[in-house]
Amino acid sequence: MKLIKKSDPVSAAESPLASHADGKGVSLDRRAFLRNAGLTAGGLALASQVTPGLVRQAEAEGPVAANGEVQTKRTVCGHCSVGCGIYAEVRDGIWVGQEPAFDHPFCLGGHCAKGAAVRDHGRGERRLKYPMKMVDGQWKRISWDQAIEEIGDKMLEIREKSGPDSVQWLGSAKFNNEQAYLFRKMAALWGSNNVDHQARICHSTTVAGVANTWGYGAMTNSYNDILKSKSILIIGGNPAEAHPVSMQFVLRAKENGAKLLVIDPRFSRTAAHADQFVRLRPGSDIAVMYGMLWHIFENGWEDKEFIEQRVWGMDKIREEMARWTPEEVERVSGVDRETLYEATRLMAENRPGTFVWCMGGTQHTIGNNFTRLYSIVQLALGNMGREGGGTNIFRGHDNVQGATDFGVLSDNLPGYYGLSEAAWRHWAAVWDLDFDELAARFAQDTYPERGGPDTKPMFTAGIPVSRWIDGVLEDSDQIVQPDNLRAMVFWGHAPNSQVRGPEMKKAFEKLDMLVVVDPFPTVSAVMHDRRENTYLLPATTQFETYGSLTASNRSVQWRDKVIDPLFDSRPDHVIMYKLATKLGFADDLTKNIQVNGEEPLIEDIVREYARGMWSIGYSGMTPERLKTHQQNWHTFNTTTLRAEGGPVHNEFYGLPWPCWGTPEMKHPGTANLYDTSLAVADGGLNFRENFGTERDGEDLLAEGSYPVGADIQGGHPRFTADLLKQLGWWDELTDEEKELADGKAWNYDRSGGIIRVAIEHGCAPFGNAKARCVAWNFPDPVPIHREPLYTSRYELVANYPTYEDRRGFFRLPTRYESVQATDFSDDYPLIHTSGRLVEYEGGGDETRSNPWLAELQQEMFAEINPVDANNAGIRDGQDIWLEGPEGGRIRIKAMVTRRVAPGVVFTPYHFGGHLEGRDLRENYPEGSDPFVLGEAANTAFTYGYDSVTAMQETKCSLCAIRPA
Amino acid sequence: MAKMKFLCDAERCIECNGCVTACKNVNEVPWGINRRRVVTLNDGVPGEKSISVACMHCTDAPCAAVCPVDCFYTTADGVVLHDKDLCIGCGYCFYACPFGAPQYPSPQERAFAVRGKMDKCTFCAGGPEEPGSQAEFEKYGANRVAEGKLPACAEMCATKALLAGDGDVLADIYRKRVLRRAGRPQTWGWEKAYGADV
Amino acid sequence: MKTRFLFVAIPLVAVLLLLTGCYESRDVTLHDAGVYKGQTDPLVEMSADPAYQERLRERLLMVQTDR
Repeated sequence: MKLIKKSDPVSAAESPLASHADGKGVSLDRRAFLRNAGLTAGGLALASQVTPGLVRQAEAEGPVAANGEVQTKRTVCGHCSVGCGIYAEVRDGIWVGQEPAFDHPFCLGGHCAKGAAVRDHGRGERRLKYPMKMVDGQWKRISWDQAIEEIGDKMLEIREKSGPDSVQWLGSAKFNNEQAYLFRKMAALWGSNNVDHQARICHSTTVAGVANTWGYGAMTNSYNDILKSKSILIIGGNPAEAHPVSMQFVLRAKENGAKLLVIDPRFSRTAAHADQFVRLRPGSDIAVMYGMLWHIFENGWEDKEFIEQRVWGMDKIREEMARWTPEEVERVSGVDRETLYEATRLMAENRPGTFVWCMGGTQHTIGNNFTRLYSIVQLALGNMGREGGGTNIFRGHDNVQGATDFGVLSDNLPGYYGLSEAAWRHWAAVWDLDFDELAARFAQDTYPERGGPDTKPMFTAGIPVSRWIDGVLEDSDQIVQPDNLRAMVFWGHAPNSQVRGPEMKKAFEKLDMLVVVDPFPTVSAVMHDRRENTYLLPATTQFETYGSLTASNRSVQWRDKVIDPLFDSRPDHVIMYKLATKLGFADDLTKNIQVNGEEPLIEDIVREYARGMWSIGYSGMTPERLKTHQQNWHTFNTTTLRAEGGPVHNEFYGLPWPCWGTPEMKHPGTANLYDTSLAVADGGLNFRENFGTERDGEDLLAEGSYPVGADIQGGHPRFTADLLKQLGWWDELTDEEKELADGKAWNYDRSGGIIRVAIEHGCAPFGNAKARCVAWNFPDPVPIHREPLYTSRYELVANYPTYEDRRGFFRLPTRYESVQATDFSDDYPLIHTSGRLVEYEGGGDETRSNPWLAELQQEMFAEINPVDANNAGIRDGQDIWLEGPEGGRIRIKAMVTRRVAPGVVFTPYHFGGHLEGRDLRENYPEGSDPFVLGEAANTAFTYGYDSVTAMQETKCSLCAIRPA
Repeated sequence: MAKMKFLCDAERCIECNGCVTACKNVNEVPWGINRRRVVTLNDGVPGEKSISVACMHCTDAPCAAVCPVDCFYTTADGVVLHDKDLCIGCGYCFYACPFGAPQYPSPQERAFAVRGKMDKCTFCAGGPEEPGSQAEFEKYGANRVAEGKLPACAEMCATKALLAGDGDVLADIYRKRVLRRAGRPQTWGWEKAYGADV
Repeated sequence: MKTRFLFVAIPLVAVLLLLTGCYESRDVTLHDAGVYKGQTDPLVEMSADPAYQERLRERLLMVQTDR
């Protein structure tokens, strides 16, 4: 440094941060707030303790040290359903580098905080490292053999006394497809439908609602296809935090002239980029959607031709719509006439438009009504079945779409075949097992006196993850199965994503056995005061094994194994095989699957499920096809997802399902569902015939609308052997095909012949029908508004009451009106809603154990409007108690912000490890506590379940706040 | 002659922090040191904007000007780096920096194998050691530019909001985006400045 | 006479003092970078190579191409 004098006058440096520093006119951002909250992560102090040798080695080396050749693996991020590609660099078995995959069709190299931090999985400093058992309240390391032996014995003992339904198998959206499939098969061989996973509590109402509208319950287009949209409506979703890389396409579409409309109770980070933001009261989506429909029909903006050809029951919708005048919409939702007119006009004048929704639209007692009415708005606008349109439902976890497809659900088998005898017979045949022997493994009684149907448990939906607490605590003579749940297996599933914390603690303590299979101990390990019969088994992450996973857009991606299992962990499918061996059905589980040591061969699992997954077209997939796609990321067009040249020319990336028929058909996959502008053989489709051909004397089949090149130019029922015979196409089947196909419908024909012939004639195998606006098999055939069980607007209950209480709903009594009968809004005046943070995922055990992420969000907080904060005497950054109407309370930090409206409190749901003010850090096995702990939002959330899928209500409950 | 620059497109930044963890990942940045941060203005209200900020590699770098031990130097393409062996951790550059870029580990911690020395964004260009050497990595983090790569933060940006590279090329890319947006009246601030009908 | 002088002189001095107090030098002390005293970084020379710069330019185009 040298000091010199210059005579030029120099003004003070214009710092872009200067205005931030003085705080004038600038509100403090969330992160600054948290950094200033005065905490240096409780976990940090412990960071250097118990560092296993491998970790130290990985850290010391860094990515540049000499020796050893660097291998590059192609893997996929495990943190959300976008499915971003990653190049993982490995040297001497250590994950030393992470490089962006610019050639990957979904992300083009981009990552959010989570994706850019996945290499930390290669260290897993805070992982669960060995099998553990609780002995007199202390964690003790045990061997795998001892763990499997003891767990298996206890399970068999419970089975002996209480039947197979007393064990609940909670699987995971973090499984790969092969593990998900094997898990469902394992539960079937155990003899119970008490198997479920995260889809129940994230998008089950979407799957049910959307499938019951037009056939398949999945995202219809893709993230990439948003580039073709002229308008984008996002309701109840915050992709800027939950699916950040999807915003690459949203913002690029916007640059190309698309309009972005965000409807949400919160001014989210997504809303910050919107052309129009509409704030609604949580839970009032039905009012807003009818309000939009009102403006659509009032102004003649509906697509008349589309509705006439492809939609049934819109007149019934218009009848219900009539009560939703702009005045009534405003009374219920708070959205005024002019605002909603502008929003509707934005969608009407900018077509095609896409419609995106997430948890804000699904997690309600009437979530199935929301998802159906969203779909109906798109039908009215004629936005379905075209590029740039569709319902782009962003799923949550990296493989929640796949785990749903493979039926890790209490009410389904792989491929959405349901639980009918025909469905079981189909899968028994695929598994090469005798149906009667399989049926004998299940409980054999029926329980009509407990509110159940006159069918055996094999054919009735099991207890869902949202209700396992009640499965444990409810009187056993009220449960539609032999006995209560007595053992819980949390296999890749955090409990803090489920509501009613204090009751959950009781349920945990009542269990005869608790088994956690997970890379991390999770909150399941710590939130109770159990002293015995509690096991933790270390599973690997997906980076320590390989297989396929399905992104939200139905593309199936292959993932390489990056590193060998860390510590004493095992891949999930190995643990399944171990347990199946102990329980005595390993041979049945892997009858057609090669087992190397204890590892069932992933490729063989693909080949097996492909022989059964005709219904949604996983049947065209082979490990070889998927691996070829993986090796040729760069050949796919990043707008259409179609390969241009290269070895898979013309195929869509990841063969987005349905990839029809047998692999030999070489179907390219279906990038956009129900798009009639393409031939079925080329990825075209129409709406599915799934609800009969006639209703109330009206034809349900499509009129004058059909995919390009179809031989049947109009609606037709689903293909069956009989239909082929009527059409004179039967003899186009080969003799072998005829043998398997005779008497079967397209989706039960294990030869694939019916599908092949239908598609050769340009027709969709599942028929060609209209979408239906009235789901007559649902509690509310026409979607209607009902107030939440815990409503802040009790005066609306008179007009919009909830359902009657039910018995035997997913085997359990389910309360609606008896909860709503009490007005809680005087004592709990604020609406409590929840959502995501970009740094964390799900229950957060994995991401809060990643130091690069944990550092960025160190404390659980609640967003509170200044009005409510001042009324409660709360200052920004202060410790507060937030209490729900069922008494669950959490001690957290207040963040005073206008992001939420007065009367609404928002909490993120990723935290765990504190319970009602108690820090549970000492309950974790040594060295396995996440860096950051905090109160679980769901401790304060309350009762309330969707009337079709038992989805929990976590988007509108009530709460009271006071300084701590 | 190329001049290396960062540019953050506020219209595209969604404050997802991918840049922050990308930096942590490739450079093994320890807890407590943030070479890059995302700053949000008007958090939670209309007009909310975020930008990602790190060392901007100033052409006439104030940090270099004030350094009492003259530990700063600039590469031929404009990347500002420093020698930690020389640095005394005095914090003078922190005063001078208009972006708040310099970071100081707490005296008890050893960050990057040295105690108390200033640390900042290196444009993924390491420091004054053999490029790609273990010594360089331990003291300064990765040297991606020597391998023909650009800073990880920009390469991994979720929405390609953060750009890093030759300033002339950045300007071209950014100009094209602005041009595309300019055609549409809903561009932020447009209606206010020029009226809704333009 | 003397007092009269003082009547003029004191305010005059006061005004002068005030004006002096308002004076600010237009010269600003600037800190100019000294000569780098640290270890030589081979990257400084490398980065002057046009081929090196071209490689980074191509990389940038690859990173930012929307395809």
